Amino acid sequence: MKSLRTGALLLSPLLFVLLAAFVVPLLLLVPTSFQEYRPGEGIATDVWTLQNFVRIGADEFYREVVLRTIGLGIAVTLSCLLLGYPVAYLIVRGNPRWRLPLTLLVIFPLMLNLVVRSFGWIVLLTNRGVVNNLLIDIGLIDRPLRLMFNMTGLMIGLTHIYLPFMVLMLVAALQNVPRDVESAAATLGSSRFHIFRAVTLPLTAPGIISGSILVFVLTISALVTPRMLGGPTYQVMATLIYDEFMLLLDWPSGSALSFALAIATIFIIWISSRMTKRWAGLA
Amino acid sequence: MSNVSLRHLAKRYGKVAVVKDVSLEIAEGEFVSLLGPSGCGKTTILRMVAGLIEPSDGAITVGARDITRLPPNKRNVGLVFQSYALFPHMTVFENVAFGLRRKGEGGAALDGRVREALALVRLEGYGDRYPRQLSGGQQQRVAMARAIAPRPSVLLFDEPLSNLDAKLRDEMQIELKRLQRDLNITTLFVTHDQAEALSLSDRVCVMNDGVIQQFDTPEEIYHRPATAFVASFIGKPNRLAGTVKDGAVDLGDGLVLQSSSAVSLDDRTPVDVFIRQEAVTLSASPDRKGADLPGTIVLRSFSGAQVQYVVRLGNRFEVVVEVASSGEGANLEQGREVFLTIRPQDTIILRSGTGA
Repeated sequence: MKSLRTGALLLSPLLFVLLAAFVVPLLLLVPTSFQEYRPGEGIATDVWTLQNFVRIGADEFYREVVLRTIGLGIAVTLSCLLLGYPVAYLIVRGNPRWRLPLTLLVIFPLMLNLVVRSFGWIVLLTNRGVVNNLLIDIGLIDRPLRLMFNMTGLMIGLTHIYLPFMVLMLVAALQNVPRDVESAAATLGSSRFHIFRAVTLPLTAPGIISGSILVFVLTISALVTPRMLGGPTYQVMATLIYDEFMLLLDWPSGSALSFALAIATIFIIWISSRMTKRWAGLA
Repeated sequence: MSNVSLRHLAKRYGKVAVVKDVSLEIAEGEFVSLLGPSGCGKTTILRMVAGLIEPSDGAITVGARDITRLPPNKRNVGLVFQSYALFPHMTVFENVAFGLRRKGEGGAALDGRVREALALVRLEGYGDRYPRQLSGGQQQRVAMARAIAPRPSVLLFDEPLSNLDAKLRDEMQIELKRLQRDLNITTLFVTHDQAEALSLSDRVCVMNDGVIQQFDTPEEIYHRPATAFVASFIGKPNRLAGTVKDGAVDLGDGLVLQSSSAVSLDDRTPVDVFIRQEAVTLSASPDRKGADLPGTIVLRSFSGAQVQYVVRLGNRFEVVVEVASSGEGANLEQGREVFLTIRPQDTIILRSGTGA
């Protein structure tokens, strides 16, 4: 009983903040999402409708944005995983002298403002940007590549921005893999590659799961970077929700989209953690 | 099953030499312990044999095969870790099958050999459990089954029992000895526990500071230590300093200790005398030959099967004496005059300055 009370006390400040600043506003949006927006008049409070939700699946534009957002989330997560794992491995298993500089290098981008980092990518990726100019100058291409306002730009920008989170999660996971267990596999006849595949990788599964979930959720809810690198026309759900609320003042549609995003996120997290757990033999 | 030989093995980290020129011949099927305090290089030697640490110098051969530069997965050794190092994401069966699968074993043959290995460590029927569902002793037995299953040419143990509680450790010691006898696999066993080393091994290699101090049978190590380090490390000896005089040792204060090993030494040679606590007999009255040493009991402590006394000899020495609590001399009170009898053959005499 005592431990329960202590636990509740320890939780209460965070619980209060979450309730007041997150759960209550969210619940207040529930009725809004079932109301109708009439252009020029505002939100009609007398009619209840499912139209806002139906439209997300039925309307081709909305559907494309939803699929694009989820696709972007999966792609960024995978590329963070592929790029981050070797770095994390090097940090944990490489020369101890490199550990601090490498970790700082990974964390350093987090110290810069998000807008600045995204703007940096604009400078690099526009039609007359550093990358295109360089490629044209050395004669690899004739006309500039489209690196912005499309999936490529968003992928590059978001992967860069969320890579540190993935690396830090994987570092923690790799540090938890006992060296003796890997050595045991070696003495039992495993090559280095087989040790990695049969021991290290499954044992880091918890880190892979949590890192992936973190990056996925951050990616599909990212607003600033998709807005800057995607422009006003290449929309993802977060930018669309922003526009619905702030530009179109269509709160009902915006809140319906918000709920759809939240539900999709929860569903995908649930599926992926189940799959990964089974693969790692933890289920 | 092959003999193992280490020739001039050395390991240096920068300027620090952890293992210095160690040569060791282990016969086929022999059980050899590396015994020493922590940091003496014993685990480093074991890991060099396993291929987990690369030697700076020297060679390791198993049978006719030089394995010095082979990666661990090509060496065919079985290693049991102090931390067990089981694969936590695999069942007991898969853990034991791991090495066999790497050797291309499969199907019914694999099944049979895993079962056989589990039977050897008395864990039949545990195949479907995960390591986290087992006790420490069971996990250690799985680790042994896993190391044994692929029939390695050498078995290596890295302090395998030190994570177990005392009672379990004794049981596992017996089990381990039986297992090694049955399988007749050449075994190298690293430990800092002398009782473990002495009771398990055919021969014990006592190490200190990266150097072999003595490599001999447990009996020789115990009764005829070659260096002062071995003498003071093994058992719980009292150490007294004196000089040789007429084939005995003069301890000063009129105390003269008869010793069979002092007979061959020249007069006035400074020596260290080691006397094991259990080699001393206490009596309340002097014996007729007058060969005993008078002293005073300073402290008595009862610890079940034994009684320990701290006895003051002259002005310079205090010796610890251990007697069976059921025998005579077990009920002498503190402050009492007593006489210590030490058989001449039970004293260990080493010239002063022979190490530690």
